[in-house]
Amino acid sequence: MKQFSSEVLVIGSGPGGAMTACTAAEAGRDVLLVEEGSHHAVDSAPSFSLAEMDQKYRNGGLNVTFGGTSITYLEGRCVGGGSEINAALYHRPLERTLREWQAQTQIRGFEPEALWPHFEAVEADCNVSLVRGGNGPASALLRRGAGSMGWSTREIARFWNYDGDAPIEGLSRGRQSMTVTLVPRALRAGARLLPDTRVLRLLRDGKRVTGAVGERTVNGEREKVEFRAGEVFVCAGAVQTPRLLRRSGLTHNVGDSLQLHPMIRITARFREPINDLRYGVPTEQVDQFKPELTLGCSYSSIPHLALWMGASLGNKPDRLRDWRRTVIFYVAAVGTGVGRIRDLPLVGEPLIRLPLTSDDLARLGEGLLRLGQLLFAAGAEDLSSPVDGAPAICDVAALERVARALPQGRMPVSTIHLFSSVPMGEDQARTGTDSFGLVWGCDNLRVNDASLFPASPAVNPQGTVLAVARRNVMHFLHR
Amino acid sequence: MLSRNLSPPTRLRLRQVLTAITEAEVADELGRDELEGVPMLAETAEVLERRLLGMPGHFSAGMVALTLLFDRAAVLTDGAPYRLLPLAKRRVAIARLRGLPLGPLGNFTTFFDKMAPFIFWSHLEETGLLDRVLGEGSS
Repeated sequence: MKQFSSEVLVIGSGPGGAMTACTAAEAGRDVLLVEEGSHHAVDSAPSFSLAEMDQKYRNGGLNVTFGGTSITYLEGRCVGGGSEINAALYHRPLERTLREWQAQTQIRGFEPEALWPHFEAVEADCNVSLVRGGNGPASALLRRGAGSMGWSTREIARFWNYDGDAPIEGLSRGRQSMTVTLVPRALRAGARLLPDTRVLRLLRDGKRVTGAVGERTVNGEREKVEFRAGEVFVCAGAVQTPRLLRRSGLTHNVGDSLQLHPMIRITARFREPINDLRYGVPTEQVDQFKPELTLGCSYSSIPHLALWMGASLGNKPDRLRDWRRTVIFYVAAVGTGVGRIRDLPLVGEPLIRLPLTSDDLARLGEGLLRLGQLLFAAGAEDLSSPVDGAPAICDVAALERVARALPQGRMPVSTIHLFSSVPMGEDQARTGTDSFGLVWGCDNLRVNDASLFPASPAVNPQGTVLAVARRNVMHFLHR
Repeated sequence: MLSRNLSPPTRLRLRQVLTAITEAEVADELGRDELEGVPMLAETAEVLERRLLGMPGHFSAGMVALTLLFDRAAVLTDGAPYRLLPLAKRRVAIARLRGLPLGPLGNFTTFFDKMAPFIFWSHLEETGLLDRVLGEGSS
């Protein structure tokens, strides 16, 4: 069995783990960063392509929850985690959200004014910036439609380096993911990176975690590995972190409170060309209905259009031939369902039970109605229905009928935003860790990823994950 | 991985059924009952199989079982296993499935309705063959 030892063991190299490893290594700690997936360059496959799904997504992107409606969720499984595959949109959460979290689980030292410096550091570390020279025709259309409805929109900054000529030189080259930013910094500061290595279980001795055991794949062969460490951070994301803790016998408020942002998508066809793939994911969002609802555009290549047009939209080849006139739009909601994560006995796979509640359906329906109104106001000829097998939506009356009666089970719902599975705070009846991620009942085991959020951040979570992780690891270093 | 546990004959049967489903889904996509000259069908079925077998074990096992059952059930409804039916009948059988109640069958049909077209068009895009299917100037 191969053995590794380090002062600090970080499990998971997504935003939470990369920030933890980078900050600890730059503070002079001996850090070992372990990642289940492989290490690929950020531009090793075209963004949102089949090749990228094979390389960087867990199970090729096919993970689903159980409930009245199965929700497909995406997880990165590569060095850099979700930052390598998401839209790279950056938000600061609302001050109101942070105060609600603080009150909800009694988080110490979580005042917004104490957190903003961490957000500022993240913005500098990861080149958070706006598109130079405008954010493209689909964004402009969203702005125009919202404007005619009297609603506000905003260009969302991205983790992106817009060097070179406008608009964007290649889809993934400018992405400021963890493999471009914090992981290389951690390595320059002396951290070691171990990809292709899955941690199976933490080793415990009373209140101390002494290390972990796992398996590593080298040249297609698996070998057992053992880690010895003085301090352990689990940063494997909102699904994998509670699974590892539970496998290690740590179950107090672990994996009982998963939340997510359910999302539905439709396509809209216009008279004029609005789809310019050079912009990647259009960055405009409708602000008007936040925090409960976010409306925006998705990357809209021909394969993605075919995916979201559904099976029953007529004349599909004609519609795909007209791809420049068609764009995918989404409604993302703050979900109200709370899910449980458990490992199935024997097979060792996660089973997530999370209901899409009637409130979720009503909220998504309201979002669909608003989005459709906006798109028709902006000149849409027709919309695809989010409901499987339903015909195209050609006017507002048809839109209202669909939006008022979204069905359970007959509608593809997806998410890439999962959180709250091991919430933090001083209220031990509701949390799995203290206010800085220290797992209850342990002296040296910490969680540092989206699992810690007491509830939805109501925006894309990556910025908040990075800022909260920075806060927590700095607290650890200065304790 | 479930793929390690499938016997070679079962794996071959699965590939045949997935190829038959892929052709029906692509024919639906293109709105026609013949696929003469349409590229990337075998490649689409191959990736579809990889995706199916790469899902979490419990989902994968269920989907494989449903796929093989779907093939057999066509003997009762159409007089022959699904994989041996003419393309037009296969399209009808898939459409019939879409109308059935929810539950596991809902996931089953959604998987093929979504993934087969996505993989098919992705292959065409990646190999520069979109124009061949959609016409000049499409890409």
